[in-house]
Amino acid sequence: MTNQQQNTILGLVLLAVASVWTWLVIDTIPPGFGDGDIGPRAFPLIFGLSLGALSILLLIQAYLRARGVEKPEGQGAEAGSSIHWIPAFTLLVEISFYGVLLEKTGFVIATMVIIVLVMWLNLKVRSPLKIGLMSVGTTLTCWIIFEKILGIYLANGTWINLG
Amino acid sequence: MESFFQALTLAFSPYAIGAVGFGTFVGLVFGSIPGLTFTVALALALPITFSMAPVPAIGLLLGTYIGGMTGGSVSAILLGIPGTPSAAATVLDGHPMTKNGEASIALGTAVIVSVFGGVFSLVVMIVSVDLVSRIAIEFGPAQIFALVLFGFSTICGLCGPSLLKGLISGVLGLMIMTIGLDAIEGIPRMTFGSINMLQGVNLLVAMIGLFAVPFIIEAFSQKDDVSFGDRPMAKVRTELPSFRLLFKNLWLMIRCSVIGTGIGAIPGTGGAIASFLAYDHAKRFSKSGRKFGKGNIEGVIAPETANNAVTGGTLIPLLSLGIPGDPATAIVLAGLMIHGIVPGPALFMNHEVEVYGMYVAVVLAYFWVLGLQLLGIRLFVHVLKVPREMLAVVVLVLCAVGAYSIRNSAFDIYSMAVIGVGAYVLVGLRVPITPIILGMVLGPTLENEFRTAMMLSEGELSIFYTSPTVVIFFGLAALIIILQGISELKLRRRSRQEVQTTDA
Amino acid sequence: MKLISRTRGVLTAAIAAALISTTGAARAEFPEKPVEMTVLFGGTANTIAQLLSELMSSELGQPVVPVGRKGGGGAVGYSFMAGTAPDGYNIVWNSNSISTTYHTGRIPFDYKAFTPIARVSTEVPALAVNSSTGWKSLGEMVAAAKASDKKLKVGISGKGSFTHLTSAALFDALGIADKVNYISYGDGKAPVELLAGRIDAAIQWPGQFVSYAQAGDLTVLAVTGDTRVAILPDVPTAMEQGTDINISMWRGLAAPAGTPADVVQKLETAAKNAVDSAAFQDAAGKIGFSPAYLDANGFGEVIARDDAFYAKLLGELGMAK
Repeated sequence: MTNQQQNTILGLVLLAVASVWTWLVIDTIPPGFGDGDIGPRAFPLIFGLSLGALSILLLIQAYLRARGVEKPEGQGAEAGSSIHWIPAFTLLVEISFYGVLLEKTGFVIATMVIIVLVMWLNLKVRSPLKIGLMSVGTTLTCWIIFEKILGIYLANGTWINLG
Repeated sequence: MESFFQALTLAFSPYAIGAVGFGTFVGLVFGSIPGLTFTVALALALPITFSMAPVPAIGLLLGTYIGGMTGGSVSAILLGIPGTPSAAATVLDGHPMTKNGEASIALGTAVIVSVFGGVFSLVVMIVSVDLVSRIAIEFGPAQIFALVLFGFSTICGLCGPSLLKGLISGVLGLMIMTIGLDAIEGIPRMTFGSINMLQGVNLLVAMIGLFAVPFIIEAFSQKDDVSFGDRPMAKVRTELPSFRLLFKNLWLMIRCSVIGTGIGAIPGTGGAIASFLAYDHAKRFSKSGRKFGKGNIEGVIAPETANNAVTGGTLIPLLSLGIPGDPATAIVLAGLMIHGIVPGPALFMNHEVEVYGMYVAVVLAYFWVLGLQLLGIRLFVHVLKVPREMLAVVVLVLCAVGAYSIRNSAFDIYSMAVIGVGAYVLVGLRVPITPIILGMVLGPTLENEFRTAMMLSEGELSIFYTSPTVVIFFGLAALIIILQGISELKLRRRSRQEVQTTDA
Repeated sequence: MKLISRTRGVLTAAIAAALISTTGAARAEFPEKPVEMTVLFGGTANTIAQLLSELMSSELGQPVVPVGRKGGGGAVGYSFMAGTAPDGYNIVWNSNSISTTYHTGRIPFDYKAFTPIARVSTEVPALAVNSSTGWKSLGEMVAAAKASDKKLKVGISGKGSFTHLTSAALFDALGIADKVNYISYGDGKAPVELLAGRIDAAIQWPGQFVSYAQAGDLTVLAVTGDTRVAILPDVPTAMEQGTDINISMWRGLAAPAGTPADVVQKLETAAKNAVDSAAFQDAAGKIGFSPAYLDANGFGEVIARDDAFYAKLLGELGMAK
């Protein structure tokens, strides 16, 4: 995908975000009363409209560049630093799962499970020894340093709790 | 004078020196570990101080504050993950320096200029607390709004190649911070009826997500390319900055200290604006301005001097007006109150000894910072020898712990994940991340001060052009935008010529 | 080490039952993990909460962790608390704001969503003006306001906040409600704004004014309770100046409704001992609030009585929704 195509898609997505945002703001937030009362609506509305305007500018710029009217993106824009969608999405799921586990099972279990998962899925480590050492080691080190020495309150599980 | 010596003896007791040292150490640890923030460290340190005598107690808190402010630069430089919002500007050039194999020079410089900035601001504070606080109270809602708008204009300098994308990024930051209960009227905004959303997005949580999550994803996906082994991230040398290097930048350090102290003294602003303004100003006036963003040492010196100069600056409104500049100083304030040191104009009459004790404690804390950090750098740089993907696993755990510990809520872990993955995608589309954090830091102040100003003037816009201070800051903001426009045009003309010659 | 499994299974219950027989057999003795204290506001509320939680931690043998959930005059924290499990591990450092937030329509539930634990302290709002105005009493301020064609700018801590309510009630009682323009300030900035002369008067907590009053920069005209406050002994009450108003704020602890009575009782005892401690009494004098312990039953009565009072007051002032 060329930079111009990427920018077009980005512009369209942002325009959609801005439109939905602006519509929600108008729909759900009451305006101020005037006479010095700006009200809670004004700023989110301005921001939403600004985003809309900027994304339209981005679309115009992408169009002009594709037609060769405008110069391509300035120096420093190395082309095609591709996005790794799969690791990104996996991590989103993993972190969310970590959050759920922390609430339900507390820090110790959740952390061990997550590290095993990450090592297996993302890093493709298959050695049980490496996985085991890393997960138990990291978990215990963090637990001792944070819970016991520094006194940060790590998550306590509601179903089951170690530590 | 007598009370000064009394303060000296109090502050130089082994117990007090130890308390300051302990605080500094804890602050450094929390500041330098990605994900953990020194606001949490202060919250943990506060109860310890209840049973202590006032001077060691305040010393411990100030030590934690100063240590944390300095420590924030460590992970910013080494990993590109700022330890506090004030260190976000340090990432811009500090992290590229690490990639160039100059990590220890960047770290060493950061520590030394931090100490310079901190001590400078303390001296300013001691000499002119009365004058500065009198100027500071002149900063009402309209003036602070103008200052923040000026701070926002520095976004131009942080955009990288595309001004348009930088602005988009800044607006996204502004939008994120309007989510939650509106601060003035308490009306829920964009919360979709969720109780968790009412609290809004926490700035620190978002910061962790913005910088740490892309780091983790990058590390995980680079794994595919290289075999699993002990591949160091960069060359590691332990080399400290030369005296010449520092001396050459003395004038820059002084200017940034002034910026930091000044911004810190204005109630309700804080370290982040100061470091961004300092960075922008350094870039604008530097002879090697084009090297900024690629590992220019001046890009480390400016924000690090300024954010530590803020520590002395914020003490001015904190002590003379009782107004905390950020959540961290709010905790210091609580510590003062519990020890009966009530800030305000009467403080300097009623608690002279404690006030002098605080000054001495700040100096002590900076000595500790210098000693601990210069030793610490030798250890820190070895982090770079750890295989990047293994480091990322640990960073993942630390960020979850950090995000959770801020409000004990798993919701913050989810928002960290969503913001982080979003940031990763944006980086991939060459949208710069730093303006988002700038928007997030400045957004709430921008809105609340504007609304308060309009309430004060009962809707008259004249409040924004009758005060000279306001007009000056608006003028500066306009100047930065115009200068940016001119340089954009120049760049465009030049690159168009290049395109024509290469295409031909 | 604590590395034993703390499941609520049979084994733990058996050990717990063997150790202590007062609690139910199905639950280990409270508290078996840290208790989270939701703090609704910054400023003095936060300072007291920090101290109280530290003192209660040593009473309970488990940490009591203050967690700030600020915003919306308390609405954020109350909404969060209403959704937590009634097991005593989530308590809220509450105040009259439970009544003001409900009656101004910010939370859909009232004080009955919580079970009281103990009242801890009371604070009385104070009205201050800049010394350069020369006003020495409420009467002089009223006369000046009536003579002027400009509105009086009064600093408060946010729309619908307790200081807003107090101001509204006071200026209503003074008969100049239509000559007042309220300016909201967060994070305790009102005294400074007053000092700089951007506002004409401010209602805040006495601790915020005391230093300025001593330095002669601000004049505190009145406190709104029925007795003078210790930290500002020379300041008369509004009642002494012939204005019929008696508003003060309590702070205390509460847990979600349905929290078991024995758990509440443990927390109540811990709160009592914390309030009675020398450290707490000592800090009260310095910060400018009054320790006012009241047990769960007494506290419950106070909450119910005040709720009716504020419902009526807010209705009269046109602030109720």
